[in-house]
Amino acid sequence: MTTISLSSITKKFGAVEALKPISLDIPDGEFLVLLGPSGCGKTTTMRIIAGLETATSGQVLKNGEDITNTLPRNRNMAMVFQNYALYPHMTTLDNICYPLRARGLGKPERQKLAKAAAEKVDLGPYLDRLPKNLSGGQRQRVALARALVREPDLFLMDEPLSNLDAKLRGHMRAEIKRLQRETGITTVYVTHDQIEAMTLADRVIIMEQGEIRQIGTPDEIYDNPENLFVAGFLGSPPMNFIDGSIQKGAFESGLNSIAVKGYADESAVKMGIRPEDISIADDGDVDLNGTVYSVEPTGENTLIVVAYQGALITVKADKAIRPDIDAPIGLKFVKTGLRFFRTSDGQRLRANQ
Amino acid sequence: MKLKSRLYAVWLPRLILYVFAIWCLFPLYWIFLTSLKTPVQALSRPPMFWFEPTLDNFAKVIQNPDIWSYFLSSTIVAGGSSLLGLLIGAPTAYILARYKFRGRGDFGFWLLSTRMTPPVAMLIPFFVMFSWLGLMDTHIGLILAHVMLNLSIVVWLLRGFFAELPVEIEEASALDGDTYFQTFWRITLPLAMPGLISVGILIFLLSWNEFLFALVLGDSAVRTVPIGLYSFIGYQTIAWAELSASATLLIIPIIIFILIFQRHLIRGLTMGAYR
Repeated sequence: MTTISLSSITKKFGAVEALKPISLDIPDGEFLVLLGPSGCGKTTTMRIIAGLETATSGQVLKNGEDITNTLPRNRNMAMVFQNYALYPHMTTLDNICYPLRARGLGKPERQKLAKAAAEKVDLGPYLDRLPKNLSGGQRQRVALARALVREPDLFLMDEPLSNLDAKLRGHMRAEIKRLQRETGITTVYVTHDQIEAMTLADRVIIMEQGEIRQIGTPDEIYDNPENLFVAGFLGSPPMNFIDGSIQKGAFESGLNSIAVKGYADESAVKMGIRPEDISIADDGDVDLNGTVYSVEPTGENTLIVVAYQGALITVKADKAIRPDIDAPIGLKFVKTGLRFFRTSDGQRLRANQ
Repeated sequence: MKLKSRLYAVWLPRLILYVFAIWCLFPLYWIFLTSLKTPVQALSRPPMFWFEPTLDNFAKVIQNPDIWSYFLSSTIVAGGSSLLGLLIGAPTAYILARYKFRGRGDFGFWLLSTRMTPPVAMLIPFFVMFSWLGLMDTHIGLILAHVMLNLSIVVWLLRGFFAELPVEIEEASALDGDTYFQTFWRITLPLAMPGLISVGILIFLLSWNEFLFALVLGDSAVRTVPIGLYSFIGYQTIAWAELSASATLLIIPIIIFILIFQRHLIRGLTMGAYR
């Protein structure tokens, strides 16, 4: 049973404000992913939880107990580092045994537990090798086994997959998710990769410039982004934005007008719509008239980029559709997919029912 | 064209290195040559390169018990001062490399400044201190003096080695339950071993070759190799042949020592280059 709470944590590096006041609660057993671009404060947040960094102000609570000033070694948390941070002068077995040494277990018992942990991540044949003689994926597993072996209260993972090639990354992602489910240990995972965040997380925290932009399940943040940053950060290809205004129940963007119900008038608005919520209009029922800018077949489907009023709109269309470049094209929007954001502060506008 | 570029890239630097190597090795060669001459041949003008070699000088020198005591003194002083230097210097360097504290830069610079005065300027204060403390003419005294002379080198070189070790490894050990000292002892020191060895060799040699402090503070009781060799230079004559034979004998252990640790030495000195 481990719950973690951060209350009004801030961190300053000199004059730089790395974290503005951040508060969050992590319930027991949750897989929480901190997602954001580099420099957004996600790694700093994790390091403060681990005790490797001291918060400038605020409190860290573990099971309700204040651990803000507890040394890392007394926190019983295990961390997997981006570059694995294996002990280069020790074999796989010794690396995995190492965390048990501090708990005063005898050597035979340490080795027994370490071998069991190594077995769990398929490291059996490599116990006598030094890290330099292991491949990237194997090193990753040693780091995982070293974290697993002592059954910590909390797993911390700092971009653990970013040094692996794409295929291995997908494989290890599945393994990490399964290990977390099996052990049920509360996990905080830092990444800048939205696919990792979406696939692994129970809840995702999106951070930008030292602030939390949104907290929610992967579906919530994907379907209901609360601001422009979250809307534009998630999705590949990302959400399309069209500048315009809302006047008398319609979104006006120059050429076309789209009826939207329930929204108050607003002079500067960005309308967001995901590429999969747009289709090519094959009859007269058109929401927007543009010209084909480029056509990008991906094998799975065709991405059609449409120029409209100086903006480029990406449409995820059926792979059989291959329009000519510069041809006029009519687009149709799934109305439930439309999201509106105030241009001035990026906040989501909601319809009042 | 290809020949020409190869000339510049390979043979010219090689030629320069050969000339430099001859320049450095010739004195050693000359000492060895002189050690095989009779006293008369040693003084002949023009110098002799071809002669019937004799081992008389070596025989004479080996039978002189003083030679062995010079060697023993040097080993104690150089060995002791390098071990003590590393013992004090390595933790100091580690703290300076890893921890931020008020006055860190000043402290590092103050250590370095001990190297800025010519050693001879510090000789008189040392003489006075050691007289009071009864450290004159003792191995311990000379060891302490050499540690003082070399500590700044130890700290500044090792600080570089420690700073280059990835900090995540130490953070991992902290999360794995180690105290600060356990991290340093079990993780950092083994990883810094190439650096420790090369710095150790360097200060060993500096201490082995040190003349001035050994002459004044060691006096007649503790005679290290350089002082011992100096005694061959008498009031009226210089026993060149015997001096050369002793010098040759006393270089040999150093050469063996370097050959054993050469691999570490090179690894240590180039550690920053390819990491």
